[in-house]
Amino acid sequence: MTVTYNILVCGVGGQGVISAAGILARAAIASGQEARMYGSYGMAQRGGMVSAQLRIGKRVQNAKIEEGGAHMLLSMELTEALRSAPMLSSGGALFAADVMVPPVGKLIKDGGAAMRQLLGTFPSAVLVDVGSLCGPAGPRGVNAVLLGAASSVNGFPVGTNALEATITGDGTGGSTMLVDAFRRGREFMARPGR
Amino acid sequence: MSTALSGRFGVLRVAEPYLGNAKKRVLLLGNEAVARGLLEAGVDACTAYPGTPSTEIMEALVAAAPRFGHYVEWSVNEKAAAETAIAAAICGLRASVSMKGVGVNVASEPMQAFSYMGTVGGMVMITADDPSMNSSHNEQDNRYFARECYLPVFEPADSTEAKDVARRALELSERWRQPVMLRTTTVIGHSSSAVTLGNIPRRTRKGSFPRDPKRWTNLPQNARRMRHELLERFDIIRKEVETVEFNSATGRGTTGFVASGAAYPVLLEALQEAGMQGSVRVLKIGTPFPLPERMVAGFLEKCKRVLVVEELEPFVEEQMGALAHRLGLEVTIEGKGRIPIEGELSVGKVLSAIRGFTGGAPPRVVSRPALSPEQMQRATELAPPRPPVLCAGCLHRSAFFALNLVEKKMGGKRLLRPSDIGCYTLGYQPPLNAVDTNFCMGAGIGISSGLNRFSGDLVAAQIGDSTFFHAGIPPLINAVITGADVIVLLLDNGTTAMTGHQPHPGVGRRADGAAAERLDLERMVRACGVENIDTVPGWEIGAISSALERAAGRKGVSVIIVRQRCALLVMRESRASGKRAAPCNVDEGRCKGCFVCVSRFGCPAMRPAGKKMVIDAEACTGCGACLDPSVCPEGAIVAGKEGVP
Repeated sequence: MTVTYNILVCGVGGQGVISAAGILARAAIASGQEARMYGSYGMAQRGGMVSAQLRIGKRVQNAKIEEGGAHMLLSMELTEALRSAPMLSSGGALFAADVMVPPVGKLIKDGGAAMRQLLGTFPSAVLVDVGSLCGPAGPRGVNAVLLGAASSVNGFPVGTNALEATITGDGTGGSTMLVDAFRRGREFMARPGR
Repeated sequence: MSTALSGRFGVLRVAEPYLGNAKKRVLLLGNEAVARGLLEAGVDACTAYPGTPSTEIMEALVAAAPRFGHYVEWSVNEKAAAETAIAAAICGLRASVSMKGVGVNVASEPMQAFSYMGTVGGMVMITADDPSMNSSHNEQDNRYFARECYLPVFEPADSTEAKDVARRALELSERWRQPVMLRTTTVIGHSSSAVTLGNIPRRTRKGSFPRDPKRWTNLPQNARRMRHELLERFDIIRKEVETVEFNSATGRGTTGFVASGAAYPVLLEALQEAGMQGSVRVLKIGTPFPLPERMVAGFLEKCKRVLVVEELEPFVEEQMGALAHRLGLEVTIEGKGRIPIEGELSVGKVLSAIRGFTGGAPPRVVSRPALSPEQMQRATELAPPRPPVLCAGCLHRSAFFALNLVEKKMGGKRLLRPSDIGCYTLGYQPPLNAVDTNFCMGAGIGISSGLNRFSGDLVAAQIGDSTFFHAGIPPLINAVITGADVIVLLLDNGTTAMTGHQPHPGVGRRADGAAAERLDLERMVRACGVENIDTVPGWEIGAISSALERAAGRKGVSVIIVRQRCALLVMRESRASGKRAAPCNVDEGRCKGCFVCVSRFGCPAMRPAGKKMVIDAEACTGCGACLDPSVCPEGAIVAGKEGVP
């Protein structure tokens, strides 16, 4: 029986979606598991959406996640969190950065209030106030904060040490800031009464 | 349309893992794995024309070239790419040519000729097919081309296997003296998995061409002999393909499943979900042409019923059916009656096919969504669509906007706008809605001269610089010599933008970064017989409009070269140098909130903020196109301090 953990990472171009999925995949491989990652990113620089499907386990056959098959959804942006939410499986966890990137020419009239409200009705959805958690990394730290928060979930398939080592190994100078952002994501989840 | 950007533009940068040392286990993109496999086979010459989902193969080979010394070429088109690779192969070198699925149509003629002659060095033609049309305009299944052309086909099942399949394909091509096809699909090329790297040998082959006109000249008297020799070569290949390690039969029982390529892991997972793995037979096909007939026959003999699970056309299914018929086997072979012929396969689709095929109990549900149908509905309503758009500072927007302005001024007369393959196909999207037709590389001009003749409308074709060099020149000549009244907007952004900025003949740089002859578009167009040529800057909507109006009043072919460097490059270079053009501003006092700018011009740096428009200073390239009064009737958009470039 294959037991795979399916993670869908999504957002818009430039938010580090593919990078976050790549960190997860490399950390999983470094810790002796198999990982398959399928990115859809051709429109990244033309204002389009970006997503990466990631499957981690002892043995992973197929690279794609079925609708309703994602154990976790990590979204760097609110609109995209809603768009991808149908992929989330029953009992799955959803983490969305509280960031709005409206599609070109579109005005989100209520500033996203209705989206946040709907998200609040989803089971185990966590809206992450990344603005206060990114620290010196700024918007570049959003993916690291979300990875930190996600890694606190029970049954998450990749260990904290492997993730931190991968972030450190990948960074070009800014890796300390990113590891800090990652840790703040974990601390956020550990806050009492959150 | 062709798209590809590699992940290295992300927040975290990663050293190229496909250049790692042997025995390392690294995460590789399927396309990078293909490139690594070619390197491990000691490839000597690699050519390509960019196109999604194939581009990263050549990008990896280009990045590897300084270290391993193989020749790399971004060719003018797939035909030229194939010809360079063929020349390398007949000089005894190992060669690859890679392209997106529809590129095979362009490379077809030299490959058809070469197949008859057979090769000296290994030669692999790599096609990246695109089921579901993620970034292509058809679901062309190039296994059919390969069969018609007598190219043995290798299909990796996943990105892990892709490296070894590429290496073996090149080796076996050389052993068989026959060019081969490596066929990937989007999910293979664009998915990543752990791959254990092998050794990259030191290249020792030297290219040489022993003169042998009988062998390399396909006049009918020789071609008849060549065809006979091809069929003899193929008899040997049919035998040897039985031992290719990418074909395998496993399991037991009298119910069989067959899968090739990307369908194989989907089938395995579906069988697992259905609890059937181990109790059925599974035949994995890694060489769908020629099929390993003895292995297939052995499999069919043990089965009563077989379901062939493959994406797109019934390529394996039909061959197996013919084989079973020829051998008089009593086995029922099913396939496309149950497996969808459209789009990529999924575990869910295959599970429901298995359920119908076995008539057994419904398999367990693969997954259960977390959201209720009402929540899904509400989520869809609240999340506005996010279609890809032309970038801020893109010249194409100005050209399309000008086209729309000029047609409006034509007093009800129509100006048809055939487009072509590139970023500018995005002009189809609102708010520009400036594309009437799109067919294939270079067709915009060809269709235009025909439309002008048969509909009587004035026609303005759009074509980018890279596409013009690729396939626009013959139809331009055709328009001139047939006396068509056609305007051609030659959109020159100085690069092949859609696929990630590969060089083309107008760039003056080769794949390896060396300086090259830089072809001048004006001179090229003039040499095609066009007298009326205007060159206008992309940010001057007024100048584009006047050039269009002048051309509309003329007979014959007019070419308007609209020139402005690709905005992505402008921004990348300005970030690197720290110098950038000042972004435009909005004079809040003058902005009346009519949003003509947003709703008709639609630059992504503009966005409505309450009752006024604002310009995102980060996104604005400062190109100044929006300073034209037709974009803002109130004159509320003003240039940044340093003025416009």
